Amino acid sequence: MKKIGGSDIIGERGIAHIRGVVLSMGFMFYETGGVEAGIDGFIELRDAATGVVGNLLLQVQGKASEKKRLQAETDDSFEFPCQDADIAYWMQGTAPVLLIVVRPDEGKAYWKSIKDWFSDPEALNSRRVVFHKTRDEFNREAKAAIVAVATSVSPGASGPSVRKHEEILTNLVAVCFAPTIYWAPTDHSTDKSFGAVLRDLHPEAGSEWIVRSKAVLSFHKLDQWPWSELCESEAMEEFGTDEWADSDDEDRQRDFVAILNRAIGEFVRPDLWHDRETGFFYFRKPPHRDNLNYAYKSLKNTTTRRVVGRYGKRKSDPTQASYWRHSAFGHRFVRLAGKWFIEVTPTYHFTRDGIADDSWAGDRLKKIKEMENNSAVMGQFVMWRDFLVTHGGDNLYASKYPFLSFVPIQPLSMEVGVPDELWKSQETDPSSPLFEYVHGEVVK
Amino acid sequence: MKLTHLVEPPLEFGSAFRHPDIRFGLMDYGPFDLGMESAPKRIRIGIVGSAETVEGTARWLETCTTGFPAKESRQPNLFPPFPGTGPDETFRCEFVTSEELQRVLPPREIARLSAIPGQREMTRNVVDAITDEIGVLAERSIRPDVVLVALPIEIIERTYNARDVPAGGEKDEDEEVEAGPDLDFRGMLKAACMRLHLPIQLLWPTTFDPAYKIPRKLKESTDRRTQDPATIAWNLLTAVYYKAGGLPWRLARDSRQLRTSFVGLSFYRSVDGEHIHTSTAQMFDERGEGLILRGGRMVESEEDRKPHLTAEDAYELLKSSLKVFRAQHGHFPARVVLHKTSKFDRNELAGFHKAIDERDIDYADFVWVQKSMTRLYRLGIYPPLRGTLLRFDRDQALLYTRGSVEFFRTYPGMYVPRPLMLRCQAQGQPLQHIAEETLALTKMNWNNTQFDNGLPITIAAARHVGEVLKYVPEEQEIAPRYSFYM
Repeated sequence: MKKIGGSDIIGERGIAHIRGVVLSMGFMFYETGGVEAGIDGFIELRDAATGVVGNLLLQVQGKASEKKRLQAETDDSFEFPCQDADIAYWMQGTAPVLLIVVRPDEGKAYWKSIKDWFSDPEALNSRRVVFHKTRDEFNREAKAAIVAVATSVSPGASGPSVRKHEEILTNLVAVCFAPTIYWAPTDHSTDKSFGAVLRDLHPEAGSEWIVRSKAVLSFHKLDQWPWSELCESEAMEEFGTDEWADSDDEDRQRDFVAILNRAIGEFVRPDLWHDRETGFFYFRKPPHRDNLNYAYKSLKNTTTRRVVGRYGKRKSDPTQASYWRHSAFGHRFVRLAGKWFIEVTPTYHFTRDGIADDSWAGDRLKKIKEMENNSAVMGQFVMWRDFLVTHGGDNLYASKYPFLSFVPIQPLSMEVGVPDELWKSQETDPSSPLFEYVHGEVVK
Repeated sequence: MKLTHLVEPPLEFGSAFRHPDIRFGLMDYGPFDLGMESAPKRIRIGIVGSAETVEGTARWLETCTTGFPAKESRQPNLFPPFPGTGPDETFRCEFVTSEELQRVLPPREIARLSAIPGQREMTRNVVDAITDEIGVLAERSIRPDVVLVALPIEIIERTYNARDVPAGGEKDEDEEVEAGPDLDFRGMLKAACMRLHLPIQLLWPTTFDPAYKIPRKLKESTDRRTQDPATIAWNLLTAVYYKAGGLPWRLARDSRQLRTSFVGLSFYRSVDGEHIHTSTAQMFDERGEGLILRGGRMVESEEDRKPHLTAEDAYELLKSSLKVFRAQHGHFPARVVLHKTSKFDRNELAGFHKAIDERDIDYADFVWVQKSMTRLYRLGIYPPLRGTLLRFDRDQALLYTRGSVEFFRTYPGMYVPRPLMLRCQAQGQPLQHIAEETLALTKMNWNNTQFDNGLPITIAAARHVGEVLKYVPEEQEIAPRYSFYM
């Protein structure tokens, strides 16, 4: 995460210094983030002669200071006061943690194995670390001592969680719906019979209606044609949609979800088709082209993604494609903490010719899932979110879809994270899907 | 919406020392019951199989005494070595076998069995043949504590069910499959052996010989990552230790915390496909001792088309569970936590509350636990951390039990993990506490020494239980110990 401000520069100078010293020892330094001016990271010990990495990692907490004079500073030593919260954090777990204090202006740094230091109750009470300027200097000469700390770690020891500010997305998009819902009694007792007559009357009529207990519930005004022909429109009643959306009655909630499902079916047209069997919405193949690319706003910039693609060659006729792959999503409307969301699950739909189902779809999907990971799936979600948020808006071809719209929700933040670079450097098992990602091509 | 991270819950091992990891905890401190009278010191292992598999297994047990090196990797916490078995190593217990504890199926018999035409017929015959051999071992004056059924490849080929996973093979634990009506060899065998009061453990030839040639069709259906010898040893011997009556580890509990009984409620479908759902309760205490109960029929509700108990049956099932707890511990629990994968309906709530009130139990949490399609995404290739908790309300939260694991320094799973949605329909404790317990209970799966399981044991156990119980006739008394099902 990009930090801003003066503390950022001090932090950067500190990191540069630490990295320089670590590299001079023949080791690697992986920065993991940290909070405020903290320089958190890991030193990875390697055998300088052979370059072999020995699985030895040391967790580092760095602090940089531009103060001219540190607490109780003399020619030989100085004190570094510590916050209770920091001490509690460093003492977590059983693996050692190094505290490194950097003075960028002097070009010097000092280190301490912090658990050892605070294992003395007096030191713990004093809440400060005393650094000896010669003995504790963090420079190339400290290598042997650093190695001694690392090799004294018993197997299975673990240190504190990695403090790292992270933004977390959820696969939820907020739903806004029309404020009014209409109800009227009808002679029809099923969706099927109502629908059949409706199609006859007006094939283009929307499907945002349901029939329950001989009444029809709809976003459409039931006293207008063609609806008025199918119900007792004089008995029509208007309700605030909230009466269904906020209801605790399970039947009402179910009915509301049914109507929302009808609405989204209309909302996604004409770009997406619906697969009855799976319930997925997917990009339809354009009539006269093989492939379709979709441009959208990703997290960083505008990008495009191939959402319909032709793949392979058919054995029986190599001029024909083996199958088409369509970007798709499954969805569910859910109410969480009193608000309605659509839960979006990215996936793929396969057809043999852009239209008919592909019989190998199951296997193909399984194979893709063996290769994809968090980053790939998140990327697909971001695309679908953008689709939902921008689709159905006013454009040259149509006016805004009246009954449903979507609003992105803010990402959430967490102060504990994953040190991606460090972990990626440890993926050496070729049978792991992460290995392929780290060392091979990204699957788009 | 509030997003936090739960620290990896520690487990307790020998002399109540704590460690977040199972294998390192065992290596450093020994099993939880170390030094207790009930702790096994010398486990007699019976083996039934073909001449080849019995011999291979016996040899493998011998090799276990000296241990196996760690798989080469830069994730030493995920792939530790297996130090070996013996009075001072790992389980602080010996695992021994001898000829008197072994029974060999002659080649003629195996040929005869694998030649039987119908799948059903063949499976039943194999089950009978193996059960007979185990029966012989059970009658001997020196009885084994656990019997390893070392399946010959000819038998595996004919009885293998795509959902089966061999001991020593990884499985996608995210496949929450209810015990369905298919013929399940393992379930049938365990049901048949139950009356012999001998826990059994199935294993494939790949356990003792990783290079063993497995026919392609079997290989394709198992996970493409086969386990390394150290991991195989860890998982198999831990399961054996538990089956022999040992307690390898337990939840770390504060002495101030209430004595709690964790009960998972589920059901299984009858074999004949008649759509009869029978309820089961999997009860675990803090030491992970599992006791299984069978209850009444469940009826599919019109509303959610899932099976539910009547108020009366719910009451009876929980009442019996509490009685069993009392028989085991000498007192009723101070707190009961119920886990269920479908919503508790009105009748179930009434029935369960009645059973609890009857015993003056003041604290109860009824939690609906479900794998969710609501997901979180990090910016990066690794998924969210195990322990990530998103609270929506005071009674609803999303919990990641699989995901990136700090201790392992990786995500040891496929694709993106599915979190659990926790919904409390009765609540005695704050949601955070319930989530922490649920996370801790995922570490109580005796079949897996890699602690990041997706489901708490209360629910995970249901699959094994149902798989076996559907072959135990209704009138027959069932063995209560979970060792007979896992």
